[in-house]
Amino acid sequence: MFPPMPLADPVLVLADQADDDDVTAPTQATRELLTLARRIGTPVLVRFPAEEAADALIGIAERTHPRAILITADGHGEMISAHVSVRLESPIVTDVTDLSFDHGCLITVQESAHGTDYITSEIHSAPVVITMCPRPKRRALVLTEADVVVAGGRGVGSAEGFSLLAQLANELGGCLGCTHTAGELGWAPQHACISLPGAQIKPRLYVAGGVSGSLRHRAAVRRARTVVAIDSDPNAPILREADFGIVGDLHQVLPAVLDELAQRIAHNSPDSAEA
Amino acid sequence: MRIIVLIKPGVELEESDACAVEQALRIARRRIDVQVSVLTAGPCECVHALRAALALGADDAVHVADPRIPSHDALVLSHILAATARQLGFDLILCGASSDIPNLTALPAMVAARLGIPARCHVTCVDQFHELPALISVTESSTPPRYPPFPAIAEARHKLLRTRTLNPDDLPSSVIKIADSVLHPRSTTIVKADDDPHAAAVQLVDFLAEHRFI
Repeated sequence: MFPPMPLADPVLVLADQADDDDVTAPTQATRELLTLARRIGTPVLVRFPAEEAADALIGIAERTHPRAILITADGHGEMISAHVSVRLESPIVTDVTDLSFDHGCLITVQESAHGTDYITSEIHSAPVVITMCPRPKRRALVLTEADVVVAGGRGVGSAEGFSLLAQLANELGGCLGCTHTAGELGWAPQHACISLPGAQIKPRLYVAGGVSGSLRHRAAVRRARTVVAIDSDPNAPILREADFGIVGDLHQVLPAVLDELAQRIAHNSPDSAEA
Repeated sequence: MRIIVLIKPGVELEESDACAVEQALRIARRRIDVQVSVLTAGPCECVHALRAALALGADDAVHVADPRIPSHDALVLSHILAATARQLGFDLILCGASSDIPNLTALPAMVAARLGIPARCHVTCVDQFHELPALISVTESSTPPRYPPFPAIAEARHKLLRTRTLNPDDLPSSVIKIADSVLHPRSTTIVKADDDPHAAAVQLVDFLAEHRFI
């Protein structure tokens, strides 16, 4: 059924379920898996519907002895990777951000759950089942489940200012949020308020514009993994908490950021020439 | 009916596992003759998480105790948990869907695969089970457990907690070696935008690209 594979270092990559049959236009999730796969061997793209994927991957793996099997960590991917790992008795490493291969040993890099550590592991075995988080994730409808939150505070100045933040949230696939103050001033809807008790957010990316960073607000966002802050006050407390901060006028910085983002995304789109 | 709730190895009871315990107790409150057992495998400090689960209201606990059990290797952990669950006997297995421990997100599905039972993952509310035995994983956005009253915490000390040890042959060796755990250098980069907002914007977008947000 399958032709013999003469490759010395095959790496199986399970195509994203959303891929069309057009092999020249894989989804972003598939492209990211292929990029990782190239770092450790020769990618072999495997395309099957979800219900057949586990059996197919197991059959191909038993014939080709790949170094690794790469699967996107979505709902289907979780089940498929679990079955493949158990049936092949292969170790599984999840949410991998980087891969390399050195002297017969696969090396994986993961971010820890709290985003504070990078964990490097060595796996002396093959194949290894690797899952990778798809990015960007589905836009969450609920603030507390959002992967990306773009929030504004008193420093935004007006409801119109918030529309810039809303555009940024849109570009990044995230949710709009606001501080208690901004909510009370009516610049953003009440359900976007972050500093309410019980409304803890846990995003991978939190962008704060014109949020000076009251203790109450910072408590509500302490579980954010990466913090970007934009404020006109160089002494704003939020800048100390940020991984990246810009001191400047929000109304000048945000349009510039939106411009640059639009250019960058257009440059990276599948229609442009491959890098 | 016997429900086993799988607890991930660790000193503290993880949120999603606590939600799984609460879902098990909800079922027990609505039916008669339900036994809720909690099970973990790992070094001796895991007993603290089990005691926390007992204080929430679980009936008894089983601890497969061995310092060599790797918490980050779902292949080995699923083997031990599935084997123990099979020996104990169960109708339903519940477990937390997410974990702070690396590599354990697939653990529920792997235990189900080993036991040959259907799995439903990332469930918020365990309302119905169509066929048993089955495994259901519970998200941490599920109903959080009720804070136990002090008498329940005190009573938990007398609940049965059985410790099992592993024969060396029963412990498959782990091939995943954690080489390095580098603390993310929490450095703050501050850029002034007053003179050139565009340059600051470019730096920000570079930062976002580097961290894979775009």
